Amino acid sequence: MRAGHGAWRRAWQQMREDPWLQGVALTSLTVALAILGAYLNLYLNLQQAAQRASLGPGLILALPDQAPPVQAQALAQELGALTAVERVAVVDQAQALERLRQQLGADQDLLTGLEGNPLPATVELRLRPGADVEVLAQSLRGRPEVAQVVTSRPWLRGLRQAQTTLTTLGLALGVLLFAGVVLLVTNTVRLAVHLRREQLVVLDLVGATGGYVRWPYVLEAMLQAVAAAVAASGLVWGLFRLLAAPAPLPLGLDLADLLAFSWRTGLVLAGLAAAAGALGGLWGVGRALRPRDLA
Amino acid sequence: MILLSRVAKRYPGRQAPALERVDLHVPPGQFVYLTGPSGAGKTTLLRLLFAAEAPSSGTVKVGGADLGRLRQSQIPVLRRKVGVIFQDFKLIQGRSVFENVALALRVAGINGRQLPSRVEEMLRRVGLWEQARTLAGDLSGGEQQRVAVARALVGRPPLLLADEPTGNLDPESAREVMRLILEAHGRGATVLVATHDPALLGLVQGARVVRLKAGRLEDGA
Repeated sequence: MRAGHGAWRRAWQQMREDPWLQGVALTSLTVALAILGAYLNLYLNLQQAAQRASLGPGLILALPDQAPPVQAQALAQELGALTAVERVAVVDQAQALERLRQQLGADQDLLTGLEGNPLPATVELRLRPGADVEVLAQSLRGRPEVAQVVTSRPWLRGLRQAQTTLTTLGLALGVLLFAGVVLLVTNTVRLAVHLRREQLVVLDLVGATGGYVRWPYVLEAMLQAVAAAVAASGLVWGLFRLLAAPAPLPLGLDLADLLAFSWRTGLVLAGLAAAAGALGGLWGVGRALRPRDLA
Repeated sequence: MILLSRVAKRYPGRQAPALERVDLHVPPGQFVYLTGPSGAGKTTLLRLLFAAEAPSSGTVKVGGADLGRLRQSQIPVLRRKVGVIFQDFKLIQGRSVFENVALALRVAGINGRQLPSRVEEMLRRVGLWEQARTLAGDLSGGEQQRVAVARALVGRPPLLLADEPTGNLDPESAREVMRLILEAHGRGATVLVATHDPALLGLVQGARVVRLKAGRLEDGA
């Protein structure tokens, strides 16, 4: 505990002694972490959006034309009581058209030539995990208040496959960006070791152990990385706020949602930065300090 | 205290060995001058004694420890028992006199109330207590060497090594530094001073003089 406290104190002392080095380290790490943070934010927001899309209705019941709203409500109430059904929602014709307009995004002009509203009112069901959608669909087909039963399974499966592939690719790119930050920390630590050669020679001479010399460098790298993560979070938040005007995108997405920067993303970035600082710090001092070369 | 047996040191790319068949025994409490011209191997011999170098062959023992068999993790422990003074002081220029001296205690895990009192005692002994807060880089050469002496002695090491300790100093500062080294000897430390300055040899009565030439001990072994 006391040794740990001493290492923090020494890390803080050597940071104060080298304001120029701190400036260089913070600037370069902030830029690198801002890139990682922007990527992380987009990745997490896209994941969330994809999850929202894939958690859409498991079953859609199209109602006959001119079905009164009260009939839709009664059907929804009846189905909502079933144990297999998690959530039920009624989407009237106007809502269905508005949703289609949003999904078309820039192509919504396609709808301007339409006479009236061709879309039916629907009752959308989200089923509980494990519920058999086909059995329920079968029991609903042929009922007079239901014109058509649509199961979302085939497109959902395709979406999930695409989502899995994109997640894997996204993670690989994320790991590459993280490795870049670790490498940057490593080189910053090696620069610090080079600049403090005189100090290291003296420490070695008076009998400092490897741990006594190394830990302050690791802690310094972690402190720099976390401080840079805070600055990078502010930078990304500000940048995304500038860019994020509400603009509907295809698949029901919205640019404002995709660019929203939450404090949770900031925390994840700070955690990743601390890990990069620890890894890069350990690697950097391990490579730069070889005891017998110093004295 | 020191035992060298058939010690040789060769550097890659150099034909002549830095040290060749060196046998030397220094009992505890002795004051030894290691003399010889530049390039004779004095610095190499001293570096072997605080494990900054490993011998190419032969045995080097300090305080009973065989340095050739010392694990990397044991070297810092050895260095805390050996005070070393260099011609170029080797101080941290950007830190205060106090911090430079305190460093030798901090690395040994000496903190708390003991640390400031021991540093103060040492700095008073070398006459630099008034300048404790001054940056080492702002001191004169003679003063810097006195800080280096204080740092070497504050841990109360049983062995003191000095490599040309007065080489960069004016005669008055040189005498003062030698007085401090002699005082440490008076307190029981074994002292080995490497120098090529014959004027220094007369300063310590009864000191043993060991001569090195081209890596070999000529006499005094």
